[in-house]
Amino acid sequence: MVSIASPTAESNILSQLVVPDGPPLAAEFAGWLLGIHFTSVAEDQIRELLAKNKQGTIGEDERSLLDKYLSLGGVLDVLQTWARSVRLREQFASVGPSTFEAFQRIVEITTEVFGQAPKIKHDYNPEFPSEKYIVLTVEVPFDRKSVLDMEAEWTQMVAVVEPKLDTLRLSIEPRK
Amino acid sequence: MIPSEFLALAQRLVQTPDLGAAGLRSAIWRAYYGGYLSVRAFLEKELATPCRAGGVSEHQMVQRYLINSQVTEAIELGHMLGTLQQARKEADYEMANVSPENQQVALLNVDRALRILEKLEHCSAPTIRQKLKAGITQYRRLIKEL
Repeated sequence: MVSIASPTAESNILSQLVVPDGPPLAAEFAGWLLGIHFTSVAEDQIRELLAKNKQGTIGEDERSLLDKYLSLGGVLDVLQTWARSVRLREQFASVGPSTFEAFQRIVEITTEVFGQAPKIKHDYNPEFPSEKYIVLTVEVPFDRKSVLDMEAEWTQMVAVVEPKLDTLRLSIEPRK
Repeated sequence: MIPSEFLALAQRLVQTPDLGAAGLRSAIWRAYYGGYLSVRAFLEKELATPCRAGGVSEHQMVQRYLINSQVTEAIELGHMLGTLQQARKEADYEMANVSPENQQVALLNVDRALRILEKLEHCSAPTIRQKLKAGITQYRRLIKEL
């Protein structure tokens, strides 16, 4: 008998899919996929539902709605992780697979430490415009001590990743 | 003047009531320079490593030396500087981003600079310093700087 992991959400189910070998997603499609997000009205509603859930005052209908939002958000996370991977592979095409793998590992570390996939962008130093780097941005509840602790953990984990990436920055924003 | 005076000023600034947006952004700038200049002085004076290289800023060079030194403590220091440098860049150049105008964010960056000085002190211990000098020399050879 084959043992099968029991998925608990749509995103888990989706991650069980086998993706065929072959050409990756077109970069344009990946960009389009990364542009999908909830409306600000929905985001406000999710925040409100999460707060009620935390306080234990959430109703049955509201819980069901929250579950649906979270399930859909989970699916979107998986799809956007794919899309990010396509975009990153394209951006790192000139530097070789080991650098790309190191970067992927650092994205994983960031996700693990801060509990969310980082937003990734190219940036440059305005005083030295030829100096370009990649910024990983996360949004966290702003408690200084815990932010510093998470940062310290991130730094320790990133320090052992090979090969070294010296054009990478972490940016932490207070969660709105 | 010793570089950490910038950090001391940043510490005083962030405690000032009604400092305002420009003041809080300036505190982050000063916190970064307190940390960065201290590290650069250490590399130049203690390890005889000039941080000037063609086409790259000294800020970037300092981080590259540390991150490629093969010394874990120094690699961490390099990434810590990178994080604070990014915060400084956002504070000085990204006016649409209002996070640097939050006092808690300014305080966080002062704390980051303090941690950088602590880490630097650690790297200054004779055994680590020796390894760091060797690691940076090896890297400079690799990039044909020596």
